[in-house]
Amino acid sequence: MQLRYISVPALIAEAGGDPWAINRSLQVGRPAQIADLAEAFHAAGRCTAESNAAFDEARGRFESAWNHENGENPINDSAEVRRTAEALGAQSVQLPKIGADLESIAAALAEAQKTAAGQIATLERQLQQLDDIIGAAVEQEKDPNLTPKVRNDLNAIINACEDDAIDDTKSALAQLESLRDGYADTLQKSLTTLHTDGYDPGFLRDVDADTKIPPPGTSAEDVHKWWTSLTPQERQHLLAEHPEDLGNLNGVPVDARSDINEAVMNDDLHRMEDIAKQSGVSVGDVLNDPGKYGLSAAAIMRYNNAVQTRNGLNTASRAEDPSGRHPPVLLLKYQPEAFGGEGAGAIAIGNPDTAANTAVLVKGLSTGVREGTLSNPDGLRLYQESARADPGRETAVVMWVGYDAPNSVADPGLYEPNMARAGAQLLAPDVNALQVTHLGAPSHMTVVGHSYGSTVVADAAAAYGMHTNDVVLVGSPGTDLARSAAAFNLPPGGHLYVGAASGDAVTWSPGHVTLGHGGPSLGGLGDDPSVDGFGSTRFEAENPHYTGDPLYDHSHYFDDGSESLFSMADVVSGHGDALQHDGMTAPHRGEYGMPGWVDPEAWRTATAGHRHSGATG
Amino acid sequence: MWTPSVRIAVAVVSIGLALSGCREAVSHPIPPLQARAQAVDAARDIVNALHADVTEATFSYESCNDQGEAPFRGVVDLSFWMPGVPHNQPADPQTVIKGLVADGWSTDSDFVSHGPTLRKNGVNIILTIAPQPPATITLVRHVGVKVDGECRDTTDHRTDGSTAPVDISKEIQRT
Repeated sequence: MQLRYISVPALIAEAGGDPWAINRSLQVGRPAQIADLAEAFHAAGRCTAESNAAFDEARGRFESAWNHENGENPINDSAEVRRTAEALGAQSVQLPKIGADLESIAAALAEAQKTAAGQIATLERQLQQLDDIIGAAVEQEKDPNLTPKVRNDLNAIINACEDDAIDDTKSALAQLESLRDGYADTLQKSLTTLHTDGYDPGFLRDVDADTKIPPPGTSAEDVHKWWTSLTPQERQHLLAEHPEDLGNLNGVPVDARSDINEAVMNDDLHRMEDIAKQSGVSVGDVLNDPGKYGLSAAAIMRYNNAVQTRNGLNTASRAEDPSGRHPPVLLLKYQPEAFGGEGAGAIAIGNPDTAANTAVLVKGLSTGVREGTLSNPDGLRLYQESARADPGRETAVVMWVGYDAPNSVADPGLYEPNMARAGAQLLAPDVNALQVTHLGAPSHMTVVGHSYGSTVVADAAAAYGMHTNDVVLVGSPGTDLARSAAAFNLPPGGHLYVGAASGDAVTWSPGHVTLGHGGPSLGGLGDDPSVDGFGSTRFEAENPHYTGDPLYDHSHYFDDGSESLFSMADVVSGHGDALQHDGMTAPHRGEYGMPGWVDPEAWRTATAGHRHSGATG
Repeated sequence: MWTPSVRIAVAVVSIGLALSGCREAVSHPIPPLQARAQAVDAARDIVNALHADVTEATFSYESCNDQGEAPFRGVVDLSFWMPGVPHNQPADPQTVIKGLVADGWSTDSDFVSHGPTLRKNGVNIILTIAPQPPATITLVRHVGVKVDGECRDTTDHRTDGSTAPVDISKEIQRT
């Protein structure tokens, strides 16, 4: 097709959809590979007359629809069949049944491809004819001796051809959409049957045409475009199938990710609970001797982290907005096998895709899904105080447990920035994706780092392209690659806010404290952002309960009523400027010409009872 | 009194203690059931003192620090209507506070400044009293109360699921 006058992009815009794109999405499927696998299954087991007939019927349909070969990587049929045969028993009558089901998928896909290709060919033929007619009319119009009537007639012909081209495109679009939906239906039904037969058709994602998920590494923008190009029916199919990769794919809207991740989590829970039930024992019994019940170490790991994730979701369900309503609680990341079983996860209180103010909270030392960090109270408190600070607008707080944090004070990782830099590379795309999927006007984004998490946040902003309006660092042991507030690359109006209790030993570490002779040095994580000249806005973060307990001040930045939680809520709600008139700004360490380790805040009596009223208007 | 030099000295010493994995000390620990009873009893006391109609009440254990570690406190999240006040109008904050003070709740709280917070027998409560709502919003309660028990339960509730809210509305209905 070589169109000289008709513009394909204009046609697509006028028709409200791209029939060529739908055709391409169908043509990427690999029916021959599915058919080969079907053949292998068919040959492997004990055939019955019924499965023979079903297979032969599907094979006949496939062969009449399939008319080209391709050199793509074949599925390793024998390995795929062997895996399933081992699970079901070699003589199982299920194997040929699986073969028949697969053959019917191959046939449906080949038929859909053939029909789609035919429809596109027809459309292109029609468009070519119309374009030729327009061309002829344009040529005639070049004649300077034309009467006005003839010229008008020619223009009318051109307009009519253009209208026809749009109508033809619309009609092809409708047919192709219907074709793709029909195939998707067939596929979904077959997948359900395959599951029932005891076969995990996960490999089909790579070879069928319907559930082709963008590979990891695809930009959030491209993923979002792909997701919005799907029909509602296709999205429903993906949600029903809930592939784990999709729940963690940046660019997919948060509520869809949450549906998928919760379904995967429930699979991890039910796998264990069902086995215990079938065996008439408790889950504890299965956990004590998983091998006896045929469960792998990975299944146990997944179960344990699923339990901790469910705990986190349940804990977050306590959240209330100032009116007493419970905001949505969404699981926007669920990777139970990440980091050698520590797991990765993120729970949002409130929906970041619709909230006007969103905060992402990054935790520090010895945090992980396995450790129960998703059930920590700090994210909940930050949500509630921030929602009270701006009750007229929607708030969301994401508890992000998405990097491999140092495990304990004995972990050498705590004293060097490598784990922070690796974490920063994971944090930055997750934060940036929230802006891609956000609906309506851009949200106000704050990234909050506590303890070692503040080093992760600093590195993400300074070196790995994380975009946020404001940054809050509390209890920071150092900002590693960020040597000043300017290095955080915040947009105009954005600020770096720092909370550092004068008695928080961890914040004293940058460059100043060495522990005994040969002890670990805490100076390896960079600069103290609360020092005069760094460029931060420091807020009050003293604690009235200060007891001299070594961990106390470092672990109470999120106490209800505290100076620190109140101040963070001002920032998260987009009112960082309110810190000044709320009387919450604090002098920097080393101000008034003092050395950097002299902290003017140590002279001040701490206060409590700080709470936003939550009243509107 | 924490003079700066004392704080600095403590801070330096405390790094060493932190490295040894020391947890927050609790001088008079109580078992989980007692921590629960402390918060639930206080919630029931509030409901009776105000003759309130409970709309929602849950109990959970909550860590007393940012690390999610022990000690834990018992917490009740409580929502209710005030008697005799229409559900489309706000309750008078002074009526709520006076009713609680008459029941022995003291405004002499650990929360020393402007929040509506009260204290009784070591239990702190924080009130959220709904203001006049805009026309588009309907009230779902007149008053929300977070009941904070004392931080004396040294059991690690972080991974046992007990930080999740459990409905206790029947347990604390007014008698």
